[in-house]
Amino acid sequence: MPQDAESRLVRQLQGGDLAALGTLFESFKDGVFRTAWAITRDERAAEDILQECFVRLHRYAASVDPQRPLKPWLYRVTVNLSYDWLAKKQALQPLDDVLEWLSGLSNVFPAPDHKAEEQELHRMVRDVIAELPTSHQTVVVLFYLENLSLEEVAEVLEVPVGTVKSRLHYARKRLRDALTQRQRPVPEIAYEFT
Amino acid sequence: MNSREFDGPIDDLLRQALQPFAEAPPPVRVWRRVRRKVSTAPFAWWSRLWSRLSVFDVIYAPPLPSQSYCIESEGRFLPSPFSGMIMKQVFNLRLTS
Repeated sequence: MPQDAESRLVRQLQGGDLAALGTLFESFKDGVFRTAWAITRDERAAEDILQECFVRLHRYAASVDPQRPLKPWLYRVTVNLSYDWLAKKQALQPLDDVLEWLSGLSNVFPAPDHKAEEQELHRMVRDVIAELPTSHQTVVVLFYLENLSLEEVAEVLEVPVGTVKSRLHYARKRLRDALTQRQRPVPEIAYEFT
Repeated sequence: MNSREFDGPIDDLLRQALQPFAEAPPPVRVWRRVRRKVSTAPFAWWSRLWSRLSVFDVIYAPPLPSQSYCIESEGRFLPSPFSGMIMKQVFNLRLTS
């Protein structure tokens, strides 16, 4: 959406126009939803976060600067709501449940037979991402899923660009290590055949 | 624009692995829920007005025919029993000070 159209919609929303909120919702709902889903790994939580994000936009519309792009504001709210959700989930669940939840992440997208190997690789990548600290996962999601630039990710998370880069480097290193590990034969089996 | 620094095969793999999250759009019911929530939000107009005012930390709005209420600095509405008694005092104090 062009910036001038977005600015106009924000001003209309500030004047109480719900149709403007609807147009903004249509423009940004997919990005907000998939970001929340990728961080929380819970589709229902992502729905709730999407809802709350736009309720907050309505509530705090007057504090939004119409001259600036809305996207960083929306992503910031989405990330914060996702963090809150994760914190609540971890506080409510006993440790065993959390471990079970983490191990079940690979089954979020079951693989069809014809693409089993590729899907297996992607599942492993998602597992590596899920094992990263939440702040690093968020950078990976915003950069690789949402295609935000390094500068935009830095703006959303209110961190320096250097921090964004170092988190991406760390994620790539973890993935490279996991891939190397995957290609290496299991030592016990190697021993049996030598 | 994304940096070329993050444009190799490993980055492609990360993009592909996250793709399933992009394939399902949010259900239509979410917008209906948003609309219901914002439409029924009480005194939304006052909330917007208050966010533009910065004179007082707390504002007391005179009671409507059925209910009294107040708005605090973040635009939230406090429940009626507090607004009628306590907040009116706060407001009066501020006016007289």
